[in-house]
Amino acid sequence: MPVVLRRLIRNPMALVGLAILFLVVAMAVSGPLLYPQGPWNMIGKPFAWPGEMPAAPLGTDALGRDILAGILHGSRVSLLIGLAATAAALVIGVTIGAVSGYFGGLIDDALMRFTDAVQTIPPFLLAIVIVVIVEPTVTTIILAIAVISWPGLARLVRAEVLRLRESEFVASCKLIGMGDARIILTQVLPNCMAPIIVSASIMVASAILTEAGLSFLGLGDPNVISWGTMVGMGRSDLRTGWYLVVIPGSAIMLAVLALNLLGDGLNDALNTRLHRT
Amino acid sequence: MLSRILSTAVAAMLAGAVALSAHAQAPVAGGALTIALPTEPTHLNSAIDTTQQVKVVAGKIFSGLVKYDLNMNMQPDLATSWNVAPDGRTITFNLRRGVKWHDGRDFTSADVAYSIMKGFGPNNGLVRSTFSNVEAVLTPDPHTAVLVMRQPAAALLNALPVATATILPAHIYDNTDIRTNPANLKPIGTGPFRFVEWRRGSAIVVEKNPNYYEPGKPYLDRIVFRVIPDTQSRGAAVESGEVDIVFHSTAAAADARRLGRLPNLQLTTDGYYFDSTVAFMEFNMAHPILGKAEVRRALAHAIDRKFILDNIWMGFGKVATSPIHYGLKQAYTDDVPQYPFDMRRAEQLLDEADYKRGADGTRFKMTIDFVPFGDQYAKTAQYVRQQLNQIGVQADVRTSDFATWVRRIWTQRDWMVNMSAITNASDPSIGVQRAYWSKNIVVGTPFTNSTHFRNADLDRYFEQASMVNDPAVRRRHFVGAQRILATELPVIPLVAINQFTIVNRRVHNHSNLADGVYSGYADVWVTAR
Amino acid sequence: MPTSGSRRAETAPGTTLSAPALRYMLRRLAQAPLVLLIVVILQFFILHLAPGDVADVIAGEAQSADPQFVKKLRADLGLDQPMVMQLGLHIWRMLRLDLGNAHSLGAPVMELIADRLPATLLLMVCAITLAFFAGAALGMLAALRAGSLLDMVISVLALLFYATPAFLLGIGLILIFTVQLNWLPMSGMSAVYGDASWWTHSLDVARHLVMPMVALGLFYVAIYTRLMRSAVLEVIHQDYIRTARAKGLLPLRIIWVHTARNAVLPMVTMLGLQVGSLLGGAILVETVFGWPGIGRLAFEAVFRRDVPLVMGILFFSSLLVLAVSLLIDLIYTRLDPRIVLR
Repeated sequence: MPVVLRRLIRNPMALVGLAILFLVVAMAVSGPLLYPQGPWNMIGKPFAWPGEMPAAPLGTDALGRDILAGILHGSRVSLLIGLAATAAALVIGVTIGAVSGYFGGLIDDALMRFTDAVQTIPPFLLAIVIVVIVEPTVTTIILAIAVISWPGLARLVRAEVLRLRESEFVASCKLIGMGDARIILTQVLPNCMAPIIVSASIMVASAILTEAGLSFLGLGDPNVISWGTMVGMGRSDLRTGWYLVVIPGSAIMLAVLALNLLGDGLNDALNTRLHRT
Repeated sequence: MLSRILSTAVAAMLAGAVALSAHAQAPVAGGALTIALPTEPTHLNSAIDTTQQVKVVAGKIFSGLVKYDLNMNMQPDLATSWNVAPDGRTITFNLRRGVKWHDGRDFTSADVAYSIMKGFGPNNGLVRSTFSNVEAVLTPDPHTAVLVMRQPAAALLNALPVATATILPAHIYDNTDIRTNPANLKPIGTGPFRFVEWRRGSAIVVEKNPNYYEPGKPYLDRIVFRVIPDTQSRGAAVESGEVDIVFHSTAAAADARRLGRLPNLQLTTDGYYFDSTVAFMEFNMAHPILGKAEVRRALAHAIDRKFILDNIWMGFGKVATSPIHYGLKQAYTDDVPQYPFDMRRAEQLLDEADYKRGADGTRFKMTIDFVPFGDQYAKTAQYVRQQLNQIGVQADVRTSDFATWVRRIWTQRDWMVNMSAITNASDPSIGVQRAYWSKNIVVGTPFTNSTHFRNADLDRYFEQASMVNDPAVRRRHFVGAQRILATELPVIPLVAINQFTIVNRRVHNHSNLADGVYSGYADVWVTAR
Repeated sequence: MPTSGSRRAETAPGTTLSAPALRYMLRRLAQAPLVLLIVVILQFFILHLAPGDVADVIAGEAQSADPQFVKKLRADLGLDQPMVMQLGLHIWRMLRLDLGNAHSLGAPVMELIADRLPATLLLMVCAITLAFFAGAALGMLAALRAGSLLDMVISVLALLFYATPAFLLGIGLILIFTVQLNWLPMSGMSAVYGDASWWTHSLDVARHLVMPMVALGLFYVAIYTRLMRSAVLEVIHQDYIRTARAKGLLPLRIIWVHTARNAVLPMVTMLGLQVGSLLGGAILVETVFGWPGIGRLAFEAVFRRDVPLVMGILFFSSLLVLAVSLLIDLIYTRLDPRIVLR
């Protein structure tokens, strides 16, 4: 592991990504510390431009709420949704992919047809349908994003497991009578970690983008402020203050960029190690 | 010397004449008008639909019995004269001769009879209860229609604008299902414009009716209704001249005043008399805590209505004192109990009502719903949530789409507070009574009495007002009703909204009728670009 | 994506389909209807999870205060039948490609889709074409100058394009090109009505198409740039190419031919995978630009709980995705049958 980390740090792009991510986490942590009352308070006159009001360094929105408070608190929500949705998708995707790849045959066919079906429905449209049907809250948004994200991962895991199940490793484990579940969990999966980790990083980025898109369309949770919500709210007053959209929009872009850089870096670092073995 | 004086005088007169004619410009025939539609209509029959996008198009294709100027004086349209019997239970309309439907057939009293008894009468949500009084429409000859009513309906003569009391062709609609008749998508009317084309998702086009009964009109050759779903796009479109009219406050309100100040545009709030909408915060009276008037009155003090008017409605309107809009001068009064913005008083009243703060500072919890229309009600919900949190009422906002919201408020009734609004129309008997009348509590049917407010005195006031024709007597009853509404507070009235229209200055006569952009537009003309 | 098969066999690429490859294709074709069936059932259940139905919406819009009316409406629309019956009826109708009537719009679903689909297809095809060619060019350029400043700039640009949400990009483009410069129209597909020449109409549509196309396509430009870059790099690092370059020669033709072979496969596969996400992106772009396509129609349909319309659109887009992916598979198999049998 330390080898991978060292390789990662030597990669300048990955370093930039890590730095930005660190900043985002810092924002998330500092949010409740700097603005304990939350992002919803109306602190001053509406539509103040950044720099116009000392109390609100990034300006205020249509109802006089502090944009900086929104960005800091929003980072927690966006991160939470991104991580939780990805975690859920990982659980589902890895399980289905591993079972499908390991056991093959009819199980594989059935699971893959199901995966096909879910993948065939345009993902964003499916997310919209789910969120609208089941009332938009943070939980349902996480659920919807997880539902559209797991199929890709399942295929990836399946391909890896397919490759690994023919190896000598697994053959010898079977010979000594190890149970299937143990083989999958202790022998097969740990050797697939590399692509799963890389995928995870990309999936968090894509979850954040999807959440932003849903909030933009007015399908966010009305009781929390996320970056996507801020873009959605600012959109209706675009001509009056484009900073309302550009500031949270830049935050989204930076976070997604950072995650992609990290994913790329991880890919390089991990693959080199694989090639060595 | 004399000739010098004479020639100067003539020159002065000529100059004066030129200046005068520049002011009183004569209408010019020809040209096209483009109107921005915020949503694509589902069909074009305004008799069965009260949405803006249907009304604005249908109003040009059909005609009504009468028109109304900005002071609500009735003017002839399909009816050339009318006459109310002394007991108020019969109204006779004399109909215009020589009017033809767009398919060439003659307009007759049979069309009026159909429209009132089977068309908009039973089907238009706004004026159903007003016209439910009509027992029959007699048609002694093709140009006379006589309404026979069970009781006098004072508001009926105020309920006849074209986009509501739409006169439909009996020969096309009678004995068919009005909801699925294909003419809903290709309408045949008697109005100044004919339906020509519907490019789905894009635009609806209507063209001048060459057989329109007002000679020389309409002036316009064509009106194009462009579907522009995005608020910002609409503002940009009217600014750049791509569209001429953005109506019913469908440009960003924060942008509207800036747009109105541009040299090529103007902003007006005229022509929305039949809208007269009041935004409010309504309570579910069945709720154990909110069912108590003291609690409601306490909460009223926690809301700064001026803030909502200025920052959510951008100053377009006035602070409301009751669900009756101040524009309805014949009925409105502000001499009613009011609740000044005072957070401490709110807390004090809640303490007195025995809802003290618990150990965690919370008095009780609340869920806030709001009508998913535009973003003002969502913003109001957020604002109110903040205010309530500060006085110890732990509030949460809930988003629903339209279908869920309708079901929740009127059928499931699992709600506490709802941010919504009420369209008064042109008379409280039409728009307001239905919301507070105890006889209009119908679970499962939308836009009936949603709060389940019951008050015998209020019922009596409204019932009397709807049956009596004397304006002074009606006013007395309406004042009584407003006092009760302001005391019992089934809703906390917030803002009496003024809708606005942003129009390119090249368009003339766009808002000189009480129904403004929803009227026929036969008088509208445009200056060439 | 090719699915399982377990025998190893070698067939020279470029020959006619071998027996195992043919069997594979036939299997895929046979399984497609099954997949479609699962899709239909899934969609049906998701949509019926909803509280509130289209009868509420229609009643709401008519501001109708009549319980009888609502009840009759539900009966007319078949909404009062038991769930299983509705599902069965639904599947039966789908089989006959009878997508029914859109409850909230009173028009046949097929007609509505047919009306709006071309606009979306135009947008998608133009966006992906832009992405393909721009991405190929940029990727090639970056690879040939690997390690230089140009390469870095292109890579950073690609990352930026990848990270920018399409709707933000759309808004940004509008701010610059409509609000500031007034060069391009900000909404709709065409502004010309009445009689005008074919040429005028096309030019008008083209003007309206520029910004939405770029907003939708830039994300895919990034993907293709990276794909092309790594494909070209792989070719360049071959020994004989390196030798040639060391000698000062730049054998572009050879690079091109080998790259084409190397890159075409992943690029084409990527195309197949992106149809679904393109449709999703189209919803956002169509919303921002008021583009009259089925993306926006789908969004509105979901809000109006117009189940037949939503199902119709979902069905159609799934059909589209399936068709494209089968096509891709066919091309894939044709080009390299070995991969199929891994």
